[in-house]
Amino acid sequence: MAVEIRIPRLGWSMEEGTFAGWLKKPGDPVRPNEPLFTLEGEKATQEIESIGEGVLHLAPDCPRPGQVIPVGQLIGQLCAPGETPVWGSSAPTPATPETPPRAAEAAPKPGALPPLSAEVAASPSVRRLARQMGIDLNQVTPAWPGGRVMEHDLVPGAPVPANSHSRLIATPRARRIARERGLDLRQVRGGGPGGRIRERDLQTGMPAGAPLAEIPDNAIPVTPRRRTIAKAMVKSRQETVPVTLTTRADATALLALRARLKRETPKGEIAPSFNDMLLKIIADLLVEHPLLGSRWEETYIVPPGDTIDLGLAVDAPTGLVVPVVRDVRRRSLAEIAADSQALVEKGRQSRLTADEMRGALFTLTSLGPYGVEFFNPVIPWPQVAILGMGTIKPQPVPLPTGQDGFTFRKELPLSLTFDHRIVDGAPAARFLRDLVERVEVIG
Amino acid sequence: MVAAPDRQELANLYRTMLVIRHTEEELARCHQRGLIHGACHTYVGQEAIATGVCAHLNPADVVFSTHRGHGHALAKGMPPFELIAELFGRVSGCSRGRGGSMHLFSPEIGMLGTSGIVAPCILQATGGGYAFQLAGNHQLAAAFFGDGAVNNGAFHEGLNMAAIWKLPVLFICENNQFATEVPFSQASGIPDVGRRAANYGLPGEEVDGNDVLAVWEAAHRAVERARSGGGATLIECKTYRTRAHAEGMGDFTYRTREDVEAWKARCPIATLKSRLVQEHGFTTEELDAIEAIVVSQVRQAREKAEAAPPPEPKDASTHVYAEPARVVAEKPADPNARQITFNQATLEALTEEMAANDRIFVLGEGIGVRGGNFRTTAGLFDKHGPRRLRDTPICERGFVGLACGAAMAGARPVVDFMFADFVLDGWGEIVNQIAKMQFMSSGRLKMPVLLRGCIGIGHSAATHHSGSYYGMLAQVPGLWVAVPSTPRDAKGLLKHALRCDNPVLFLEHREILQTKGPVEEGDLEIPFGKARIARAGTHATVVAVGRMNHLCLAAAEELAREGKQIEVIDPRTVSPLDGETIAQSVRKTGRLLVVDEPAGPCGFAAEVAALVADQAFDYLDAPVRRITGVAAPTPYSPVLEQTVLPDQARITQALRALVEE
Ligand SMILES: Cc1ncc(C[n+]2csc(CCOP(=O)(O)OP(=O)(O)O)c2C)c(N)n1
Ligand SMILES: [Mg+2]
Repeated sequence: MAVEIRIPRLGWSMEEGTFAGWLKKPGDPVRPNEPLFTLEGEKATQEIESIGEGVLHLAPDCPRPGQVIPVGQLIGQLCAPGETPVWGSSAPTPATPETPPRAAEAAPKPGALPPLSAEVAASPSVRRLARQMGIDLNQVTPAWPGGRVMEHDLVPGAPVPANSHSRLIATPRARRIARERGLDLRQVRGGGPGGRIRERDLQTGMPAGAPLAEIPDNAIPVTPRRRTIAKAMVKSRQETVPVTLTTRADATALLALRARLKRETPKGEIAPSFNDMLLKIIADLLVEHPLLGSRWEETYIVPPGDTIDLGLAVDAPTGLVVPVVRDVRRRSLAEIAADSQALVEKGRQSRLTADEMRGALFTLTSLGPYGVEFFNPVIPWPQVAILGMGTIKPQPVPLPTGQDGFTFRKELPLSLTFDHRIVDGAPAARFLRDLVERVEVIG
Repeated sequence: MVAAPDRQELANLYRTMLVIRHTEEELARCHQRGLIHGACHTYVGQEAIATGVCAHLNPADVVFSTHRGHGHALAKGMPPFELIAELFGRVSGCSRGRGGSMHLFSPEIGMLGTSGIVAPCILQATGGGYAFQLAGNHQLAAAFFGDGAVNNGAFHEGLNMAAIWKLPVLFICENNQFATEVPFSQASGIPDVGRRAANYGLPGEEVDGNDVLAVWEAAHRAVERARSGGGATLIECKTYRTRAHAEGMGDFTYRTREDVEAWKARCPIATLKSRLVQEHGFTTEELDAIEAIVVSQVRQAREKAEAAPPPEPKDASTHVYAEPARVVAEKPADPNARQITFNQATLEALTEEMAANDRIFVLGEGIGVRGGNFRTTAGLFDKHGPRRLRDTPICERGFVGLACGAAMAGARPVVDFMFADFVLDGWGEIVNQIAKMQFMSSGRLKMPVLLRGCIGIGHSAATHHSGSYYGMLAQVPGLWVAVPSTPRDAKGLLKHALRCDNPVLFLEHREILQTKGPVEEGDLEIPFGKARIARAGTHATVVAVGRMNHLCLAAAEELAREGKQIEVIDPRTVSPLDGETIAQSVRKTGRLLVVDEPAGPCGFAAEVAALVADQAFDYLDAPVRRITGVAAPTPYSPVLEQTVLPDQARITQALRALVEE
C-alpha cells in the first residue's frame, strides 16, 4: 500500500508553505525517518522526514522549489517496488468540512492564466521532442527533483547527467562573476531550476570570507590555461605519491655528440638538442623498464605498447604546456629534433591542439637554462614518472685510481620523480642508473 | 459698397500669381532633372485662390494647408528659395530638409504648416482661431483644403466647432474636381461645397476660383467677419489643376486632354493680365516687366538652392522634443504633508497652473459647469468661464485636432478625455500631427498639449472604458506619457506637464483616484523621466506603473514578512522611461519582475525587459519575468474581469518564485 506524501502543517496557523526542494530523487528507495524534502514554514525551514517506506514517486503537479503550496497538498507517494502509484486528486484534504478547500480557491478560474508555478518547465527543444513523441509534458516527472523536464526524462535509457543537464546552464550574472574570478562553472552545482547556476551557488564554492565585491584593482585575471595547469597540479598532488631520486651523468659524450651534430647540420637547420637526445634514450629505456612508462588504472596497470610517445615540458608565455613527441623509439634523432622544434614553437605561440598534448607515457622537463641543478618536478598524472634535467656544469671528480687529487668534468644533473604507489625505490633507481650509463656512452 | 483692390494691390496679385506659377514650373523641371527626391504636388492652375485669400492676411495670421501647399506658402510670403531648397532636401529649406513638398513650415511668417494627411488642416485652423479668440487679438486662421477633404469627418467636426464658438477662421475649399483620380461628382451627393456651410450655421460662398478678383472679394468679406467677431466662413473656389496630381504621374486615365486644354485656356494669370490691361489701365509692357523680374528671381532662387548644403546627418533626430527651457529638480518628499486624494492632487495642480497661466484652456465633455465626470475641473468654470473651460460636442478627433492647432498658435490646450479609450478617435491627430510638429518644424513650433484621461480595468467598466494604451502611445516619438501612481506624483507630474513644451499623455488609473497620500501644498513640480524607488530592497526588483505599483508594494510587504526585500520601482513616466534607475536596481538585485495591467505583446513590460537585457544582462541571476493582463478585450462580468487582470496573489507568488529561482 503506497504511502502518501503531503505538505505538513509546521505551526498551528500555517496555511501554506514554500517548497524548497526534494532531498531524494524519484526512484530512490526511502526508509522511515530519512529526510525527504525541505519545506519553508512561517518561522523556519525544515527538513521533512519520511513517515513510511518505499520507492519515491513525485506527483504529476509536484511543486517546483520556491513554489508556495497549501498545507495538505499531495506531492508524492512511496510505493512498494514494482507498485505504480495511482494519482487521484492532489488537493489537500480539508481540515474541517466548513472551510472550503484552499486549493479550490487557488485553482485557476475558468479562462484564467495558469498560475506561473503550474507551468511545466522545459526547453523549446524538449517541448518539440515531446510533441514528436506524442508525450504530454504535464505527465512527465523530471528526474531532477522539481526541475525542468529534460530530454532524458522523455527518452527511456537516455543518460541522466549528474548536473541534470547536458549543457552548462548558468545565469548571465553567474557567468560574469565566474569570468571575473576565474571560476570553472563546470565544478559548480547549480541550485536553480534544472540545475541552473546562480550567483548564490558560486558563493558556496568560494573560499570562506572572500566577499564577492572586493577584487583589488591590480588583480590578475586567471586565464583558462592557468586553471588547467592548476587543476593538473592539484590532481597529481592528490593522486600520486611522488619520490625524487637525483644523480649526475658524465656529459662528455653528450657534449661531443652535440658539437658533432652541430657541425654536420646544414645551415638554416637546427641541430638536435640535449632534450632530443634524452628523449631518445628514455624511449629505448622504457622498453626495459615498462613500469616507469605505464598508466595506473586502480585495478590494473597498462604498460607501454610498441609506440613510445613522450611529453616535453615547454615554458610558453601563457604558462606551462607539454606537447607530445610521437613514436620516439622508432624514429631517428633528426626526425625527433624536427618534431620537437615544431612543437616547442607552437607551444610558445599557444597554437598547440589538444591532440598534440594527449597520450604521453613519460615526460621530460628541463630547468637547465636557468642554472638549476636538481629539482622536484610534478608527475603529470596519470603518468608514472618524470625526468628533470639540470644545468651541465664542470664538477670535481677524483683522478683515476692511484693518482691523488681532482680533475673536472662536465656533468648533467638528473632528477627522476616517480609515483611510489606504482614503482618502488629500487626499480626506479635502476632505471636512473641505466639512463646515466646510456647518457655517458652516447655517440 | 463692394471693396476692390487698388492699383498697387492689383499689381501685387499679378506678381504673386506669377511667383507661384514660375516657381512651380521651375520645380517641375527640377523634378525631371532628379533634384527633387520625393513627391511634388504643384499648384499650377489654382494660383488665384492662395493669392486672393492671402492678400488679406497679416504676418500674424496663420495658414494651415495640405499636400498641395506650395502656392499657400509662397502667397503667405515664403521666398521661393526656401521652398525650392526644401524640395531639394537642403538645410536652408523652410523645413530644414525634413519635410519636402508636403510638409512646409515657416511659423515666422504665419505659415504654420502643410500636411501629408488630407483634412487635419481644417481642425488645426479651427484651433488657431480658438487660440486667437482666447488671446482676444484680432488675428485669424485660414485652412486651405481640397474637395477631397470635405467628405472627411474633420470637415464636419471643424466647421461645427468653428460655428458654435464663432471662431475667426477661413475655410477655403479648393474644389479642383478631383481627389487624385476620383472625381468629386462621384464622391459627393451634391456638386457644390459652399452651400454645406448653411447646415452648420455658417456663411458659405461658391466662387470662381480662377478669378482672383472674385476670390479676393469673397475673402475680403470673410476676413472682415472673422476680425470683427462674426466667426468663420466657408468659401468654395471652383478650379482645376492643369498639371498631374503629382509630378511624374500619368494624367489621362481619368480625365481627357481636351478637358485640361479647356481649363488651361481659362488660366487665372492670363485672365487677370488681360483684365488689368482692358479694365485697370495697366500696359502690357509694365506687366511683362513684372514677369521678367519674377522669372529672374525664381531662376536665382533655384540656382541658390542647388548650391545650398544638405542637412547634417547628426541632426536627423533633433527637436523630437522641445529643448528644456529650465532644469527641474524634484524636491525631497515631505512624508508629513497633508493627505489628499489623487483626484484632489491633480485638481490642485490644474487650479494653480490655470491661475498662473492664462494661455491654458480645457476642452472636454462635461468639464465646464459640471466640473468633469471625475471632478477633474471642479470649481474652475466659476473662476475662468466658458472659453477656458470649454464643453465640447462629442467629437474627439475634432477637438484633439483643434488642440493641435491651438498649441501651434500659442495656447496651452488641455484635452480632458474622461476615459482614455476615447483617445483612439483622435489617434491620427495625436500621432501624425501633435507628436510630429516640433520635429517637422525643427523646434520652431512648440507643442504644449496636455491630453489626459482615465485608464484601467475595474468595477465592470467593460471594454470601452477600461483601456490603458500607454504602450502604444509610448511608441510614438514626440509624445511623453505619464502614468502616476500616487497623489504626490500626480500633482508634481501634472504641473510639469502644464509647464513643459511637449505633448503629454497624462493617464490616471480610475481605481486609484480616491487613494490618499501626502502632498505638499503649493509648488511641487516633478520632472519626467525620473523613476521613483517606491520601496528599497535587495532580493529582486519589480517595476510597475499606476495601480499595479500599489499591488506590487503590497506584495513586497508580504515578501518582507518572509525575509525577502523587494525593490519596487515606479517609473512614473513610460515615456521618457528612466532605464538607468531600473538597470541600476537590477544590477543590484539580479532579478526582475515587470507587472503591467494591459496585455503583454509589444508592451511596457516587454520594453522594460528588453532594456534590462541591454543594460544589465550580465547581472541577471534569473530570467526576467512578466505578469501582464490577458490579451483579450476587457470583459464585463466581475468573474471575467478579475480573470484578465493581474492580482496581488499572482504578484506575490511570482516574486516568491523569482527570489528562489
Ligand atoms: C487621410 C489621407 N488619405 C489619403 C491620402 C492620399 N491622398 C493624397 S492626396 C489625395 C487626394 C486629395 O484630394 P484633394 O483633397 O481634392 O486635393 P487635391 O490633390 O485635389 O489638391 C489623397 C487621397 C492622404 N494623403 N491622406
Ligand atoms: Mg481636389
